[in-house]
Amino acid sequence: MKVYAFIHPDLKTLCCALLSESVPSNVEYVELEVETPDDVILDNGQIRLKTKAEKLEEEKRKKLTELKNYVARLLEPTDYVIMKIAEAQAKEYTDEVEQLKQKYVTQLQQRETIRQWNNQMKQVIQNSQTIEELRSIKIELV
Amino acid sequence: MPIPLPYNFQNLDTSGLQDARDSAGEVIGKATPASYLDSNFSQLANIVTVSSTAPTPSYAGQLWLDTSTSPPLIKQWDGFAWQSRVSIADNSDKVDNFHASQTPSANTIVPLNADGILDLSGTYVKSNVYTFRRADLSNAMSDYMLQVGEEAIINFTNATSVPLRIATQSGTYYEVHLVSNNAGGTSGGINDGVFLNPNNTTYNNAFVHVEIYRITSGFGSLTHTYSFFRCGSVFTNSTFFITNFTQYKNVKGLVDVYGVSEAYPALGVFSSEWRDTTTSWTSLGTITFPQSTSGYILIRRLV
Repeated sequence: MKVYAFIHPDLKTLCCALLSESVPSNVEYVELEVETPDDVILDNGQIRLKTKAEKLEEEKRKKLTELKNYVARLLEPTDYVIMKIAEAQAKEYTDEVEQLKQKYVTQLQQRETIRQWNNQMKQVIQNSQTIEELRSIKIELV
Repeated sequence: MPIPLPYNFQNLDTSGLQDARDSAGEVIGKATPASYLDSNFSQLANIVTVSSTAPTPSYAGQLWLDTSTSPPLIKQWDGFAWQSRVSIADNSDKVDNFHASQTPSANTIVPLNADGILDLSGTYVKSNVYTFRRADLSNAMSDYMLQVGEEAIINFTNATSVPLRIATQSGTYYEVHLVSNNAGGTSGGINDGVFLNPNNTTYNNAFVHVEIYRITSGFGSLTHTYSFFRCGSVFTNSTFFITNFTQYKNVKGLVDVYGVSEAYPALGVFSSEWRDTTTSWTSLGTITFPQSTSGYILIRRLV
């Protein structure tokens, strides 16, 4: 899409008009072809497009946040197990800690699986070379 | 007042008239000359005088159709003067000089149509508060100021950017339905926001968005700074309200999302605020999508 980037005369901030007629009159603008208006940045007073590397890093951050939120939701249903064990440990009830670990062995294994998968996905995201590659990564533990 | 006829048969002196007889030759009365009847009928046939000038009145109650005016006026002699009684329109479908017609147009009375529907087609109903009309702005090239109650529809196909072409001003309030119709399911969408760019412009990091959502994997929330209002994500079906006061500008609503693995459905409640108290919002703006999207947008101005 085409945008018309300019510094807002009153707000002194970077703006991108999506229609040429939306640029305030008597304001200098730069016409740019972008994927989204977010691709335009103000760098040391200069309006420019983000580099491919910058966009890739940004996309990685988004994907990592998506992964983090997803994993948190997967772990949440068994958080109570960790709370119980942590409470027993805080009270130094060693026997009870062991009993709880036995009782909740399935849940603890599930959590371990989730964390291992999380670490693998982090690596996949970090190793991605293109935005398309990143976007094709499906955040879903089957 | 009875109409004076030339012959009043009840009081007629019939002594000079011939006898009337039946087939057996019996006298059954007096034969009335045809000329008497003709004179009476002639008087009745001319009971209303049609003329552009007033006739000489002969009795109180006499009628005169005054053709000197358009439409002509029916007048009656009250014994002293000619009094207007009824205005006869030259077309009986008129009321207070307005025609009735099935085709809506200016200064026309529209009846229910054959289906019992009051079909106003291109025209609309307006009170001092509310306007009932849908304007199709799908191909509008300049901004249109919706009136209170009026709604706009914008259809779009395979678009990543849809200008709403609606002028706005401080003190207005709108209801918006953003409906996507892409096939999406749990894949095929780019997991990024659907944004409303007020004044068709981005304002760098001037917007704060908060959202609570339920997706298929669980609950979540987000808060983020953007350069535009966020009103959905991926493929979206969103209902939101726009508040436009120059000193307080907000978009808040409900959203369903599809096209990504944890959605289809997904329910979000959000509020997006433009943290700027001085910039006027004069054009509702442009909706941008993260991928080619089809559907429609309905916008109704409520205040």
